[in-house]
Amino acid sequence: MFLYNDSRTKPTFPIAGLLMLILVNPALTSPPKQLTFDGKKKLSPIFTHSGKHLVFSTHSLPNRVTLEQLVLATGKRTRLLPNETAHQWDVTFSNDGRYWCYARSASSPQLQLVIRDTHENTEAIFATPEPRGTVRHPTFSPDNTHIVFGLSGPGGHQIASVNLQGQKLRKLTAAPGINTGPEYSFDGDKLVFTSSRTGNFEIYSMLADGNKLQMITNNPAMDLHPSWSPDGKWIAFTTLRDGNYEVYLMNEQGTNLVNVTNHHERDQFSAWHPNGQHLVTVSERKGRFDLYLHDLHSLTNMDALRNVDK
Amino acid sequence: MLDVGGFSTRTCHGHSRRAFLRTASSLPLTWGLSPALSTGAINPGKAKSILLVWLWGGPSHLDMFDPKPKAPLEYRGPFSTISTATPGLRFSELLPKTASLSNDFSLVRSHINHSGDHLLAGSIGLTGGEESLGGHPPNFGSIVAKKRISETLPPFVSLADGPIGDGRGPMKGYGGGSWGKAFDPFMVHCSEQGSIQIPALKLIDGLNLGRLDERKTLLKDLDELRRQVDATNFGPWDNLYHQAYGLLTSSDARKAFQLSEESEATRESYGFTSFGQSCLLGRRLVESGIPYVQVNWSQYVEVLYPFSDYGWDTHADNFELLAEWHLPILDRAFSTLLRDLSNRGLLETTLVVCIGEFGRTPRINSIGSRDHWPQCYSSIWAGAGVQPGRTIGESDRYGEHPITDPVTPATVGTTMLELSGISSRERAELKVLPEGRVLHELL
Repeated sequence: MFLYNDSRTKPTFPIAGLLMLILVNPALTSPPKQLTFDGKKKLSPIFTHSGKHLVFSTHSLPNRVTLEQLVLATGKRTRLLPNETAHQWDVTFSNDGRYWCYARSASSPQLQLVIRDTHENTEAIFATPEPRGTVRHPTFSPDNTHIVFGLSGPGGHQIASVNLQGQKLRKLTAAPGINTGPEYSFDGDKLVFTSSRTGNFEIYSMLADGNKLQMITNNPAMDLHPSWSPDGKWIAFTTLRDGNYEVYLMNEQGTNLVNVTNHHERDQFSAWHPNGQHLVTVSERKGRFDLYLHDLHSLTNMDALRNVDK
Repeated sequence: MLDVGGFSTRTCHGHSRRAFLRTASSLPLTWGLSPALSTGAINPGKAKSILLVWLWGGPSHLDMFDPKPKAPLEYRGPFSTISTATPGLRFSELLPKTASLSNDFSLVRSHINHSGDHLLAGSIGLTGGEESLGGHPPNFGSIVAKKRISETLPPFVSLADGPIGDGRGPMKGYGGGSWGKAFDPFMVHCSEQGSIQIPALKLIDGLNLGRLDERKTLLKDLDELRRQVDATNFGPWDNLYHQAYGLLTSSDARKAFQLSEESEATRESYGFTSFGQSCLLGRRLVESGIPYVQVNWSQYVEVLYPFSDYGWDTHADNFELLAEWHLPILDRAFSTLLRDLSNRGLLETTLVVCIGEFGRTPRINSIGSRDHWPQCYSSIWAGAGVQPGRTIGESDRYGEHPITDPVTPATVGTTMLELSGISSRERAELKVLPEGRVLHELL
């Protein structure tokens, strides 16, 4: 059944079905807003702290992934690094607006962490000694003292951190499997991340120092790309549990699950708006990849969520 | 859009007329062959066309069509498995659409190659053999091209922006090899929006499809170009001229390359990725009667890393790349291709083979990814007499080696040629694939 409604298409379906769907999934009361229209592949969107801009990686140039900034009010898009010739992935910003960082390809398959200080106009780089190692999914600590990321290098694929100068590498996990995609809780006390340590990709949390590991999801299908809501009440994540990629919400205990996207095509790479009431996703619609903004006012009502979970 | 303008051959120093001449010298001369070059028409076998889906770089067999869910974590990887339409057969959870069609194709899980080097393994994978004193053996498509004559369309089309290769250059087995450039594929690049670029015809700035309808303009342009090239005593130009002119001035031929002829729903179903639209173009070319089409996921398609990621060469971040891009894109496009061919009745006469040059290391490497593994890999076969729903061959418990008779690239090529009607006698006459056998288990 066609559940999605965008700004250019007005699908029709039976009224009874519509009512049923509204009861089952409150997300349908406010259809997502399409933010981009070029259909090119995109990944890892993130809002700036003002909430006025979205920055994301996109495959808009032939054979190159670049960072673009979208002004939400106008829809204007600009390349963040117009003179950069390397691939640019997974951008993120510090709370104080001074620093931003991203993963940049080197002359081998390596992805390096590039940390830019906008006050000093300097650039620090962290690169794994492994020539094919990568840094993915960096995120700043809320106190703006260090950056946590997924590191593939000697010792496997682990969660690690460096300071803002790209130094003092510290590994926060030492587990088998793939450990990646860390995101801080709003207070900086905890991290949520993806790990395949027990077999398949699941969502875990731990204290910011790597202790007190907690498994949040436990599903035969993969769960990945978690992101904590600004108020800490919800975790958005991508899951294959319905047979294709959907973006779900859950609480820290892994309950009160809600399918936000609920579409037969792909939805992934969710990111929270600073207001905690909107979520952006990269969604494939009619074979094209664009950014969609989901209004979660109704979804983040606890009573509604409890009803859905039952 | 069929874009034949904006000559784009590039060097480190930009575009040049010399670059054009080099390109011209490598242009395919395969269709409209002179009688001296052609060995004559044959009665086609069940496969009037072969559509090779070439996954360049070495796709991970364990993470796709030969998962090992009971293997230790350091082998099986993080993907779960799902059931397919075939009882007992399981695929990666990232291939649900392809899994649902498993009764429409057969799977081979016991391939081996003789090299772990991309260029060498790729050449072997596409020719069945290695270079010798007599030169490099021809591509399977070149062999088909030699046996088929087409008046307006090239018999061997490869959907890529240039010869398949890696950072060191093109692989030797991409085309005619020792038979010469006359049997190289006709290259066509398809963008994610479905615009078509034909590198060989990017001859004249400003030449576009609209102008091609102005025959006088076209003739003037081509005459001018020929005059320029004649001045260099460049022999093959006459052939190029006739071939290019034949394609450009035949509306039917041009139509085969125009994805805008397809409904929006059809184009959507393949996905607006370069690979997806290439699969759709491959179907159109097969439908138009081209006997050998190679759809490539190569260094020109969906590339996310520079200087690496030559298609499926996922030394770094294998699992995230496969989960985020490769497998969902492949699953959508390839399953749609099979369904579309079937719905149009084309699968009866089209052999579809999906394969790469090797697999990837079953044991996950020290940085949580997978490297080259020619000792075991998988392929999918459908159509043209292939019995669907079969699983041919078996790998060991970790997917490291076949435990049944290994299937070599020579066997792949021999089976493809046999199904296209090129018999063992004809193969012997052509002196190709002397040691190949037909994979009868598929038939």
